[in-house]
Amino acid sequence: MNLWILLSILAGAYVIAVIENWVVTNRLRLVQPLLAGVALLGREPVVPRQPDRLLFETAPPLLLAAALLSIAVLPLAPGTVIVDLATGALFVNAALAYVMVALVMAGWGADAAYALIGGWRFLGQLVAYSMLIVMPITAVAMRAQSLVTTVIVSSQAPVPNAVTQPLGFLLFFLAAMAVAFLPPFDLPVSRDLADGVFGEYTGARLAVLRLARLVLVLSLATGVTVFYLGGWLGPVLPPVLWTFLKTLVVATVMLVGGRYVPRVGIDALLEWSWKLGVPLALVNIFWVGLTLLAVGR
Amino acid sequence: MVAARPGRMTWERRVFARLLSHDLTTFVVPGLEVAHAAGLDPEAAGLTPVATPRHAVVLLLVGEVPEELARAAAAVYGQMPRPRSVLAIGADRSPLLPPAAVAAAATQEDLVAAVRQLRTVLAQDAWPAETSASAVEQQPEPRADAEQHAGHPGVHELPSGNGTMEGQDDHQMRHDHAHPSASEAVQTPPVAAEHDASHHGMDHSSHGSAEQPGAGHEHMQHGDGGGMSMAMMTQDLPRSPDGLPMEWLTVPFGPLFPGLPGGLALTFTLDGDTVVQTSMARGTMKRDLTRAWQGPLSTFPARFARLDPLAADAYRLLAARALDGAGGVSVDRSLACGRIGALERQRALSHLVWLASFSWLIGDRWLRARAISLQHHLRTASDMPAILRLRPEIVRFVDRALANLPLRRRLRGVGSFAEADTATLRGPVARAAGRAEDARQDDQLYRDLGFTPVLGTGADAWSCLTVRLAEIRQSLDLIAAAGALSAAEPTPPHTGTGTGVATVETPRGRATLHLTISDGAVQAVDLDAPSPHNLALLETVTARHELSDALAGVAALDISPWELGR
Repeated sequence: MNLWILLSILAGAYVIAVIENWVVTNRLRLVQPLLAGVALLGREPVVPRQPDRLLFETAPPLLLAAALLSIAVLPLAPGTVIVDLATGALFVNAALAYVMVALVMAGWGADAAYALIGGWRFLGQLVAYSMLIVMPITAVAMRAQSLVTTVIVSSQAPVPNAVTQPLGFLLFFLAAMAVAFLPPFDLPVSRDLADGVFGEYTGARLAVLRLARLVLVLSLATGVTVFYLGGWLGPVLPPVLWTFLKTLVVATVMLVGGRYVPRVGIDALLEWSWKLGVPLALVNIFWVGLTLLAVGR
Repeated sequence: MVAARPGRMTWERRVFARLLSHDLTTFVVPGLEVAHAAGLDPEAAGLTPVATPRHAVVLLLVGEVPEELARAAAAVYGQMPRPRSVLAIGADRSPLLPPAAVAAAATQEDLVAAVRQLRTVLAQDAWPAETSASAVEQQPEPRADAEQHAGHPGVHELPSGNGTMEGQDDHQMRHDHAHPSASEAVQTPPVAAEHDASHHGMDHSSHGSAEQPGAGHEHMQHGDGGGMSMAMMTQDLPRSPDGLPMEWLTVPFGPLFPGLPGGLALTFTLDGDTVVQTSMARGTMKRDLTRAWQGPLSTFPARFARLDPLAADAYRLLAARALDGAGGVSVDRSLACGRIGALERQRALSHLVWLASFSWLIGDRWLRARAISLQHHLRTASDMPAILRLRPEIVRFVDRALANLPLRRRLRGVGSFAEADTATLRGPVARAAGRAEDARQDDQLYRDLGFTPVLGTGADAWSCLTVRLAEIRQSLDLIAAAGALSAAEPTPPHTGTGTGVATVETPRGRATLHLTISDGAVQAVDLDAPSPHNLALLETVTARHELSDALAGVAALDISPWELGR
């Protein structure tokens, strides 16, 4: 079962790669990501002259591990989850913290100024998005009265959380894009830093980094689906297909939306997150609390 | 000729090679803006531009590459992992670079054909075939000058653990000289003075001035058992304005930094991610043009246009007008209108090309894609009716860009020069500060066509953008009013002696040319171009700005490095 889930994750990551390629090039090329990925394996694996070798080598697999860990607790269907933790919703947040660790390691380990600054930027980005990840999850858990992800999905049987908690949905959605450093939040890998933390990686290491990012996007899109769109709930179609379709839509919106706005500045991101985002997240928690008291689950 | 990976071509490597040949990522020299200005669209030809040579398979050389820039390109090439290749489009062979795997003329059709040919070459030569192994591996790698390598990019590969020199090459081995230690790297900021062009490509690791994390903090003497207080450890470090002692980095951005004009060699001293000091290296684009400009009158406009490939038509027109002045020739109204049409078309194209580069830097993909598409359509529009059909689409694009709230929010206040002295500024930058500096207002024919300068408010990156967008729309109106689009052909060749002065409002501002001719040849040329005047704002738009804002501020000035070096 876990093997099937892992294969599904890889397949989902591939679909996201196809969508991303389509968004960037305006052409739908189903095989291009596979060709590009395999071609990367054939390129020379260059290592900077004086890297911090441990950090440089560890960063790509750590990023992949963080992405896989975060998706491991998200259910695709009833009983279809790699690990059904009692604190699954919190575990997602804990796993995603290692995204920052991996990117800072990649930035520092390369011994390159552009990568270093990219790592710093993501540190700042973490300060911006971290509360906007955990506070909406708190509100979601309040309604479900549980941190178990399967219970959170089941709690949305009458109405999805996106309808009852629209503010939380919006904040979590945007914060998820920031965690995945998708445009317009691609500060650590931006073109004005010559691809930043990714800039010094080549060959198989770069392939792992790119795969990790795709899995991260998949994980966060699945997180949005599980926490706000009712996960596998839906009529007619098999549950896993509902999860897949909803995740696909979320991922597409994430990838397409950033195309039309410029990259945010780190200072603006921090300002908006803390002066507007966090108060709104508190309002969201307060609102959910009131509705629970008044209406019940 | 492809710089192949070491090893024999086996069946699985053949598969890799074939796949690689279909994923041609490219690093463009001097820059994408030069390719677009030449009417080339690398993406449409199947090349994907990338921001770092580490991710590039192809080094795309477009047009003229000055010697210093070729050195930088050589360093960039050395940073590309193998297999790697050079594709030369309309570019002469440079001894500093390896021979091109494929070379072609600077047209889109030839580029497409060249890319197709390159795919075949890469598929065959990514690993050397047995019969050609020695020929490929003996190809000497380009070497940067050792002196100029100091404090340079150039990531150096290490031998892999299996004993093969994976990723190592002669170039890197010869340049494994010591980089400055951490204590040398941590220093008070350098004097912000111009220095010889000594920064090639981009900073890719092991940069001499970057803190070397692996090496630790030698000057802090951790290891000798005595221990030091934080105050003692940081006592010699420069202080940020907030009082925190930080280790400052000196980082090059250029002369081949994507998003900035190719040839612009900036160096930022960074306090964290804040720019504290900016310097610029001159001489990157030196081409000894002053001597090349002397010579026969008939070919002078074409030779003069070599100055700036980003505004070739504007400089061709400037040369033609100066020749007319020197020869005492008056131009009839229809030719003058045609010249205006050509100049305004150049202006619109130049602004769209600039917008594509600027959008790349600030990460606005839609803006970039539309700018590239529209400039391509405008460039290929063969006559007036075609341009007039294109006008509504361009105007809609301009209106949509001006109404883009996230874009305004991003750029407002960025690269502000409101407090600077704007008296010497030229072109859209001056007009963005509200100053009506425009050579066209002195031209009676322009006034007859209803021209008034476009002025902005705010004197920042957003204001520069809005002025250029409005000028695109205005240029189309002027083209329609002029009713002609003829190229700036000179009137019949002049003979004799004389001096001529002409002024043209190029896309970057007023340019004035003083010309002396005698015996039917150009003897002396004195050019006052706009970009050197706007350089004065470099420190203003970067100092104390966060890095991305500083880069956006510099890009908003649209400085042409080609005008800085001759």
